[in-house]
Amino acid sequence: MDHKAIKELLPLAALDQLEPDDASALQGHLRDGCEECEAELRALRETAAALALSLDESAATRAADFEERVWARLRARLQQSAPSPSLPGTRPSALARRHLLRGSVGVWRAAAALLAAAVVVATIYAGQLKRQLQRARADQLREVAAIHSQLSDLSAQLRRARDEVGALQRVLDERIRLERVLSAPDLRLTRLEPLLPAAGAHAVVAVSASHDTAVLQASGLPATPAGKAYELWWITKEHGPVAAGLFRAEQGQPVIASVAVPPRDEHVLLGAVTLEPAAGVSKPTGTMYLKGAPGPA
Amino acid sequence: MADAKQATPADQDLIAAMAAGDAEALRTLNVRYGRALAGLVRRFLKDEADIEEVVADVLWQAWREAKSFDPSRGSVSVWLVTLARSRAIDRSRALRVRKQPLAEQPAAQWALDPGVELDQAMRARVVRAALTTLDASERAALELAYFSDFSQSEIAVRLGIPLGTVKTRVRSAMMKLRRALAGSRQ
Repeated sequence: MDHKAIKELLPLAALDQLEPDDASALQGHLRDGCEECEAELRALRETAAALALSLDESAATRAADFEERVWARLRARLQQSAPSPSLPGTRPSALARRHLLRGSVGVWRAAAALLAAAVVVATIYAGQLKRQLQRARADQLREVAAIHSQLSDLSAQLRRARDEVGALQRVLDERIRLERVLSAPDLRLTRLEPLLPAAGAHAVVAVSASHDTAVLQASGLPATPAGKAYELWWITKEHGPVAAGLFRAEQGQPVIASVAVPPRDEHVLLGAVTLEPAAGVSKPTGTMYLKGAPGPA
Repeated sequence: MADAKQATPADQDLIAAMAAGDAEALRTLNVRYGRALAGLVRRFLKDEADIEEVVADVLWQAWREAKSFDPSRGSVSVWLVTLARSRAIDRSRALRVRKQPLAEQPAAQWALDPGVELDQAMRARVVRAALTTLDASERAALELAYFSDFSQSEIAVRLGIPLGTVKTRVRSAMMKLRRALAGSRQ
């Protein structure tokens, strides 16, 4: 790869977006000592950093005590990694000691010297005590901030755990419903085959009229885009497409969803799945992903 | 960059002080960069506790590796941004959380060191102004390239354009920003 081609790679390199082959070609070129490309890459990395630090910084200002919360975490790590620096000394200063130990120069001078020394010592002690109290108070405030931060973490973890339990419960309910339908004597399956937008996808809709229950199981569908939902349709000879329920898909995750049974006393020609606005529509408007005819009863 | 030249010595002084074990320098670095790094991390993560933890991880790594920081390889801000983006992507992959880029928001109001903060604010303003000169298609490609963990191929699929077009748009967007930042120094 020549110099010009390498230079074209630099903006993507600054964003860490190079494919492995291109990245190794660039590294080789820099190792060969191309100062122009090295300087350009450095400047583009500065550009990328400026972009990162400029776009959205105020989004973090929602927490007024953000710095304190991060500092509480850092301080805890500092304390774990090394003992706290000792507080400044609390012994009387050498000056004060010299005052105290000065020889006898008369009772009054000695008394005056002692008094002066006492004042110096008391002043030093008062200053030290004040600073110690201030430090202790600052430490306590930081400890409180750290505990507050830990409580917030625990609350967030608890919320996530509750959400996960709720999601698992919903999956379990759908599975129980599916097993009930699958064991029904009047089970009827509609296999939905993939169309071009979802070449690897497939789905089965299990219907039991006696249980008045239908469950869709799908896999391989693309993740549902924001603001959209997949919608199942029963297409009957009498009324054309009839909406049968909405569901969402996560990338790589199978879907199990309760849907509506086909209209009674109507002849179902097809089942189909389309991508529609998240609230659903009464007649299909979006791309069709899956389609298939009902199997034998 | 010239506007960074005024801020860089102060940043480097902080790193040097951290290398010598000065925890107060770490605290100052947190005040100077913490919120901006959180803005970047927020592109990848939703949960506030996760964001705080990643920012603390980045600053902690800077503390531990301050002695080996080499200013000839790039500025302190490049170093911190690189660490933050990498850690945010790792965390988001671990959490399997994907987040759409957030809408642009107004500038932060706090300041610690007026000189450094002014530099940062001016640079932010220049970048925001430069972003408005990008085509919507260039901006979309740039945002996905830098503020998500999608590969170029995945971005091509997501935007419904050929891979080569993605690269062209990202390259063009970066060069426009670079020129805008260079122009602001003159």
